[in-house]
Amino acid sequence: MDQILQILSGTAVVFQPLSLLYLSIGFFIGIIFGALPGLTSMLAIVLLLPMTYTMPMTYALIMCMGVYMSGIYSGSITAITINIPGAPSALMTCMEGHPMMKKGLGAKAIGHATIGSAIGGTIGALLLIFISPLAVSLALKIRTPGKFSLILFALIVIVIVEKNRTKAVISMAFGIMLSTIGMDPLKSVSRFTFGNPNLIEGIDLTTLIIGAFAISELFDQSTVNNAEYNKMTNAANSMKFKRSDFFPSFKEMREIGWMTYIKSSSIGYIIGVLPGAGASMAAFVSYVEAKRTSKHPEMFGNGAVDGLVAAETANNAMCGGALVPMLSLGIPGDGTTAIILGVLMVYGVVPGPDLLVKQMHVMAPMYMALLISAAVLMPLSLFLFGPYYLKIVKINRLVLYSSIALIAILGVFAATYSTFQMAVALIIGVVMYFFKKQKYPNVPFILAVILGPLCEQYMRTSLTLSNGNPMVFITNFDSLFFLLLTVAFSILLPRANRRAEALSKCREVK
Amino acid sequence: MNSRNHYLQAKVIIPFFMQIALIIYVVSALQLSSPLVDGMLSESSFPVIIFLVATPAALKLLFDGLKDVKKEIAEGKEVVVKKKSIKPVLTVVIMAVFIALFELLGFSILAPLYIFFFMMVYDDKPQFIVKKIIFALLIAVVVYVMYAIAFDIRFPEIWR
Amino acid sequence: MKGKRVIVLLACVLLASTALFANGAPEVYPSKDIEFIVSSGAGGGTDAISRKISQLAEKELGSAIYFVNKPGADDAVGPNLLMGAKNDGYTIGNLNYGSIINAPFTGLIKGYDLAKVQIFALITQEPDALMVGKNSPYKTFDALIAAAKANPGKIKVADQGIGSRVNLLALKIQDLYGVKFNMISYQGSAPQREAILNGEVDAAITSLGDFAPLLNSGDAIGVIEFSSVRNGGYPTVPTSKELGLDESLLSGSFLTLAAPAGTPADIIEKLVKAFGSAATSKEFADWTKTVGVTPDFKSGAELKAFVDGKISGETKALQALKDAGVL
Repeated sequence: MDQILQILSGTAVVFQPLSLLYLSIGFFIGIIFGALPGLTSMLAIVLLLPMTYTMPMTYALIMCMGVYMSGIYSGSITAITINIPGAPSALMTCMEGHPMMKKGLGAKAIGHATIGSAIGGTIGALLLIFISPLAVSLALKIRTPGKFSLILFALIVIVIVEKNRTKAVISMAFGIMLSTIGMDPLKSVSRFTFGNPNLIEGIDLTTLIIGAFAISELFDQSTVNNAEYNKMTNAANSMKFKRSDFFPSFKEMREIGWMTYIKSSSIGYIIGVLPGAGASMAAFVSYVEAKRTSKHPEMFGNGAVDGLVAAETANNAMCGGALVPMLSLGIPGDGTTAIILGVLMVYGVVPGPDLLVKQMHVMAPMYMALLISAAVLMPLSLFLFGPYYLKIVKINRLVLYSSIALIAILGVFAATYSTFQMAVALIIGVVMYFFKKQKYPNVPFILAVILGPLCEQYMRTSLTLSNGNPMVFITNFDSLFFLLLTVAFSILLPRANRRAEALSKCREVK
Repeated sequence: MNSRNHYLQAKVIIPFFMQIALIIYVVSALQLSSPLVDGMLSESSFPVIIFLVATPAALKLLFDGLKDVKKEIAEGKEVVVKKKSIKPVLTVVIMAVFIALFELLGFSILAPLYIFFFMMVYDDKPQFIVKKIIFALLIAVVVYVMYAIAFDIRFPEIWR
Repeated sequence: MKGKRVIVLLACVLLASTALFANGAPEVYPSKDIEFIVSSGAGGGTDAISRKISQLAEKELGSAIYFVNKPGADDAVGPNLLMGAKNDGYTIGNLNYGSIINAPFTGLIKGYDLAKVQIFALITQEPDALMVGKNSPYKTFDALIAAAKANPGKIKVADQGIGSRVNLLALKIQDLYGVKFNMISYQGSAPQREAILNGEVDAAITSLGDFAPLLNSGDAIGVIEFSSVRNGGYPTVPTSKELGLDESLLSGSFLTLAAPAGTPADIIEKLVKAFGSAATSKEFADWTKTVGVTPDFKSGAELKAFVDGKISGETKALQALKDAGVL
């Protein structure tokens, strides 16, 4: 009952004009960043992170929710129009959406992608609101040894889901090494500062994130030929559509089948709850499942609307799911929630059952913002901007990237007031640029930066609790559970990956 | 036949430096204390664990890289020197100069110049100079308003 | 070519304007905004008190105060910056327990020297307290000590890391009563709260204010506050003085304000006056109650005695523990 009251008061907060403004701004930023290849919603939140320092927390979180929801959705826009997924999560959308575009059904594809995303996002948010109390009561049962095993689980699963696991381990080790520089979390000693007084304060989270994501991307993008980029995007600008073309009819949706929507949403939500899997995985699993049960699997890869819908529904349903472990346990479900966790940390809010029980008033507006983004803003944006979506890629590239270059580097200064940290961000950017060139994944890096220090603290605290006896991780039921889960995933995930690979190879042959 | 170039490829260099970094990391951790003090974990235990986990990975990548290189040499393949763009280097230089001078010259002088040169590097050839100057000033003003006015963050300025 | 000329022109205009700005010599302090270096991150208790007191002092000073958060290294990074700042009164900062006691003792930062700053006001004190969960069998300090005596190394006490203020307090208790706790380190007070909630530890030491949400909801009970006067926000918690505990157990954090050494005396005087009236105002008193700290304004000789007393007492305790090989 209390829960519902607080959710309602959260709704009231979101419907204040200022909140709605921030939500809309966030949503709009997310659309732009999601749609542009190379820019992701994660980067958008990274850039907003230092700016949120002086903003009331509620607004900052509301804005993040807008960015999060729209950023994942809008990757589909460029995926459909120019066959380049604007965000990695839109990879499967590409396969079905672009063939539709070529058949002249671009508006229909965007319409279905939007409505699918809206339905998925809404169901994900509703599940988040109504199931999270359950998650909380479970979370309260988890003590420090259990938390250690959970983080271990997350770190191991992240490595397993990556294609090149050896490189994932290296990325992760690099992230942990950087994050342990500075003061020891549990003792008054400084580590790895090599006598440099600037390093005693450690490397700030903002420095690491901006260096690894924004700055390295700027080096990468500098080699793109401008004229070619313009030619490519001009193709998208030449097409004309009416507003009504964008909204799919009920009949079409019934043909896709309500079960597809519900099933894809559930898959998305569950994959979101699992730490480290993320939107791409949600879209992929849901797409494969839709293909398995489809009445016309031969259409897949050639403009099958149900494949498109399954992928888009699932990746947005993932949003609600990914927030559950982040808020109740402090384990982010994907890269973007990892950074939202950073936003919470800036405000001194420590995720955990304490947060969801005692500070529901903080979380309620955030939940509602997520729900409104999906249920209201998405269809609304389709109506307002649908025809312009096909032109979004036309923003002058020079203006865009030079603005990002300035905002990113100043973001580090705003967070730390230190030119030393700016220099560190630049160095990390250069290193991560080479890492990326050699296909070292960066998601393990960022999760290691965030989870690594916690992993260390929990391990040490657990062992002082047991007077140094490592059996504490097995005798505690919660810890044992996560350890067993880790083992199960280590066996099952590679098998599932192989099956998925075989499937996609199959399709290529066809 | 210059075999040195073969060994200077990223697939060899990255794991090599990573391994060096790991060794420095673990040595400097062990200088602080032993990983186990009276049967309890200390500030160096976690770094030692990271070292133990990452070292096999780094070595595997290093040996894989070396094996590739040996094969290339045996097959007499020349390292394909791709014509590398100088632009990423220029981008790094612009950023480094900006950071180095930031406290000295401040936002108002540096930001427009930074954006201007950034756009120059990003463009295919130096063109539309006046347009770029206008954009540089505009972007600097917008970013300044966003940070300094909306979020009350004070940047260094030459007159402060 | 044309572009180059424009750049040169632009640079000239900028230089000219900076020269103009620089020439206007300030006559009365303060003639521009004052920078405040906070020794902790945004959103913590130190940050909140610093912002609140400055917000009140701004009115009398007639000049805006803006904040630079410099957390890290036992609250020593911010003060270290303050030590190197210009002593014209336009940079001030806060020093608290860590910056005054721990940082000089551990010598983490080279060149860190309290002689380089001038501490001009004490604003608040925040005594430490011992809390237990609502179902704990140890509802009094004596019961806890008795239990610890009976089961050496079995009673789990949550502190904030080896060498921290609350860790030091627990070590002092151990030493004084000849007991042995199992001390568990947590980073900050939030995980301490969770550990009390899920029953992972038997007791936690930090300030009452840190436990405010749990004390208010009844999930935690304040057993003792290591102070001489009862806390205005939680008057039911007994003090260590009432219970007749040794005076060396009086422990807690505090917040002082400082300017770089050599700041002109008339400027310091102005700052003391402005922050003094802010710290003694009713608005500040009401606000501190909500966060569980005690306003305690001191300046001049009184302040010097307070700081010197803290330094000699606590440093001696730290040295004794170090000699005994505990730290």
